[in-house]
Amino acid sequence: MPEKILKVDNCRVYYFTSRGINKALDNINFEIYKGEILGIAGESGCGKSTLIKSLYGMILPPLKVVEGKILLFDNNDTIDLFSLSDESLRNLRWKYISYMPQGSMNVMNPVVRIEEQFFEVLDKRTEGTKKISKNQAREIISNYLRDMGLPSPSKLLKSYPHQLSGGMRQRVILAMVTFLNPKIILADEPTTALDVVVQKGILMMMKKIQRERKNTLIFVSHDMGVHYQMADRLLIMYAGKIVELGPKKAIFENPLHPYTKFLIDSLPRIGEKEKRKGISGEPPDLLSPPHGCRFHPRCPYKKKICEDREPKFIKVSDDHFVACHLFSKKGEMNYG
Amino acid sequence: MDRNKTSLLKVENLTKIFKIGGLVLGEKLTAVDNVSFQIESDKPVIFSVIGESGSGKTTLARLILKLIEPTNGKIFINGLDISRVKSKEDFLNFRRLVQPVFQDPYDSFNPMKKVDNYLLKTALKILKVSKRKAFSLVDDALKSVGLSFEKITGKFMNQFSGGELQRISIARALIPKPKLIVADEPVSMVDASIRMNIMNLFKELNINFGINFIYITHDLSTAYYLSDIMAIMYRGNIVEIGPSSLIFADPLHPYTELLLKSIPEVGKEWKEDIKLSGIETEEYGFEGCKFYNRCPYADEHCKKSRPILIDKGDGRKVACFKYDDNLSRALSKSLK
Repeated sequence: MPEKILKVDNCRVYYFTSRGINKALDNINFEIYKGEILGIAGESGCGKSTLIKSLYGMILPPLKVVEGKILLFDNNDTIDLFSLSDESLRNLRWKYISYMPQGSMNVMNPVVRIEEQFFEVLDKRTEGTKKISKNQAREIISNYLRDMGLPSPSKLLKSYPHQLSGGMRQRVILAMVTFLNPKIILADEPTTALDVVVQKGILMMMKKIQRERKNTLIFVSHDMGVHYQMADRLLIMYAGKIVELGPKKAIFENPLHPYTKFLIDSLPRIGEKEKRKGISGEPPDLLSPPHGCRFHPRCPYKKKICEDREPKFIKVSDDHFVACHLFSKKGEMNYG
Repeated sequence: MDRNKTSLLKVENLTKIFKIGGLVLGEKLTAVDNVSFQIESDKPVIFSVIGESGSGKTTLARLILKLIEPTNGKIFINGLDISRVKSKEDFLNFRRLVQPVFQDPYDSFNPMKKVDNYLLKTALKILKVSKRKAFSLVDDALKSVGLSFEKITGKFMNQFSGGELQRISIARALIPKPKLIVADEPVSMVDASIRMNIMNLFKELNINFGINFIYITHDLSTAYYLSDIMAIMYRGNIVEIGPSSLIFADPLHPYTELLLKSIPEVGKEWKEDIKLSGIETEEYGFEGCKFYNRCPYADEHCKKSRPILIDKGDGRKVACFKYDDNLSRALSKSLK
């Protein structure tokens, strides 16, 4: 059994808006293993970004934890993320758990040179490390950037974020979030706005770092092609719920949930021109999600029970879980 | 020219230069750089223009839509020289011929106005028909995208989902029954489950109503799925143009090759590393081939002179010295 590093235990995290309660994460249960790349897939509004924010302890109004825990396991310690003070959370960030958001400008200060921003990260190292001079710090950072394959580090450090291309900025952020070698790296659509060639460069760089250092990488993307390249295991979300969780190979070769099936089948593939079907309907409004299974209004295999009762998240085989009434406990499916 | 074929689009020496920054110290950026090509077909076509950010694809689209004026060169649509479209009457005729669909459907509508009124006004203004006729034209257009007047009546923009709104903006484009729709990244903001529906809608409109499409995108897999002909742009130039199936099966230009290798495809795991460009903005100013610094095949000659599109005889044209038998070297020299 792989060692677990993180456990999401019965989490309900809702947005309390003026229009009503948005149940962005509803009854979420799963574990993350040490040293794996866990891909999180789903469409906009399915709760995947809220999940990442929760894992980072970034619960800001109107977002509120209604129920549940997120537990971090560090050696023999167990840390309850939601019970931590702001200060303890701050101490955890960058060193133990770091976060790479979609728009690089969300972490970078546009009017501060890259160098200064790196100094700040360097300052967060565990107390007790010797004070070093700016020149020493510069050298450490330059060497690190060089190791990461970034061109002309000294010139880069003197630049302001806006002087760099989007791809270069994202590479600098990746260098920042990995700089203190955190155990867990959270990445929320880190390459979405980038061109394919740049995207490939950054993804391969991320994977290389992760494979060398064995950090745990939790990676959100709406692009199943990207997950195929990156993930060890995949978590599929729909309308605030986990619908399927399993090893990448199993998810792509033997998807269980009708929604996962659809996500994989609808991908246009080079070399295949035959018509691919879309799925009818639209994702639901999380202010008033459908009763029963949240996917039932769009599901081609819908049965009576799907409208009435919410499916349980069950283990179908070793490491493959699904929440769908088509599957009984023994994992026999019944698409009829 | 084949007598049975009509020339849908002809572009001659098209150039668009933008000024960036201040009046005195401002720099010039050649977004579209002396581009010439022609699309001929005996049946309605879907033509994709593929490029990354900064390739000039959106500028090309805006020039074809006559939203901006070229610095130099000419565009003919269906034989019409669009630089001669000047009077109000001409513009109305032009809008009956060519219609746009934009990336963000929320930008296409006024949040304060009811969507049905907006559509009716479009019909009344462009087609100068009676109210009754306008109503039936709008209803027809909505029906061809799977909606109807009844479903949208009395509603404002924010009462529709992104997918519905994009379908409505396609319906708006269909009202004058145009010959050509120019769609700039029409599905990049739409979720996967809706994306295929819109792609399939374009195909149906193309086949059933004989509408030509120019599909501007950075996404190679949807371009492959959708288009008959495609052009690949890089830094303001077309580097390769021809039948999609040929280009995907056997890319000629080294840049096309790089793009195709960078698609995150399911079933093909990335192995080789790639080289990223560090000096993107400088590439526009290259005297020779703009791709030479990233090209594995480049030599001194590529640095000094610019390759022009040469006919490969199989319906394809490519701008690369790799495929040239001294001819284009001599030509590109004499052009200077």
